Amino acid sequence: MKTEETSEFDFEGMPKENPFAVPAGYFDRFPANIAERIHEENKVKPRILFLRPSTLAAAAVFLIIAGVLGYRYFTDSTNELTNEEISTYVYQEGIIDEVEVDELIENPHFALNSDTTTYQNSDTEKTEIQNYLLEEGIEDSDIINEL
Amino acid sequence: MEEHSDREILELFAQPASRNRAFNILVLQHQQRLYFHIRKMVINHDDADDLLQNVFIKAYKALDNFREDSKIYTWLYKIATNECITFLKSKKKRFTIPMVDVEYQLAQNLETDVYFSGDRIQMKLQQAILTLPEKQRLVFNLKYFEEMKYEEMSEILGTSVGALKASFHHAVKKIEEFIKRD
Repeated sequence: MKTEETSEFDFEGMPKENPFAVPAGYFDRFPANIAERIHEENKVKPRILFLRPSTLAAAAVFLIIAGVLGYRYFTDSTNELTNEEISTYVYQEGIIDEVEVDELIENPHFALNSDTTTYQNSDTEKTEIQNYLLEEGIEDSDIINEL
Repeated sequence: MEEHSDREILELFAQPASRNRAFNILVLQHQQRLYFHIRKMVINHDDADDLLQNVFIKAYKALDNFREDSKIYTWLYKIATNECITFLKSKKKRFTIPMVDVEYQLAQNLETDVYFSGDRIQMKLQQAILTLPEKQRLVFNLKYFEEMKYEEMSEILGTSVGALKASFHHAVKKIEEFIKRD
């Protein structure tokens, strides 16, 4: 049947029949094929995490290295510095002089609690200062002259 | 086979007990027209079979949400047309060859296709159609072979009726020139 739109073209001899064929029984089987595919798609698929061997190997190597480094870090005694190393470093850096470093190392409690108020209120410490001045031969007048 | 209305199919599909039966009816009612619509676009039977299965799988998944703004058959044609366009685009990308070469390849395949039962004139017409751009091929096939109304084509292709008429006119001219030239 010629339509209005096709009338301008001479389709005489041009068949409208469908020239394509299908394998025998194709349309008979097709509904069953679709039903099967839908059935397969409706099945609940188990969610299993599959990792590639290369990924597993990389993860194992990472865990081994992390384990070894962690063990060495927490057990290595070389992380602790000796008193000599501390004093050499502080002296070389000019933070305090050598004598002060030795005093600090020998009496860390004093150094850490060198609060002047506490120090002045201690009678014992006053006595020690006086004794020290006497031993050094420093008179009261010398101190007054210095001031 | 008894023809069922869209309403009947949708009502059956909504009931879990008759869901599969409803879908089977829908497949039986539309499989042939949809198959040949796809086949004219992709030429090869195996490709057409794959795409037709995709169409019905998509339809099954979306049928619950189908609004009766349109007929089921125009909705299915829309899905099928989109499947064809996507397939042809991916084929062009896969072969990294210009658009015209894919159509040339399809025309070559037609000559050796064991499931092409047309005579020499029908072969010539199909080869002429394959020289058309994708959209014009769709319009020509739907109008000439399936005698679809422009209003329905407009719904399927998302193009205005005027543009479809112009597209068909250009397609006819090109086919005419191709046949006269050879």
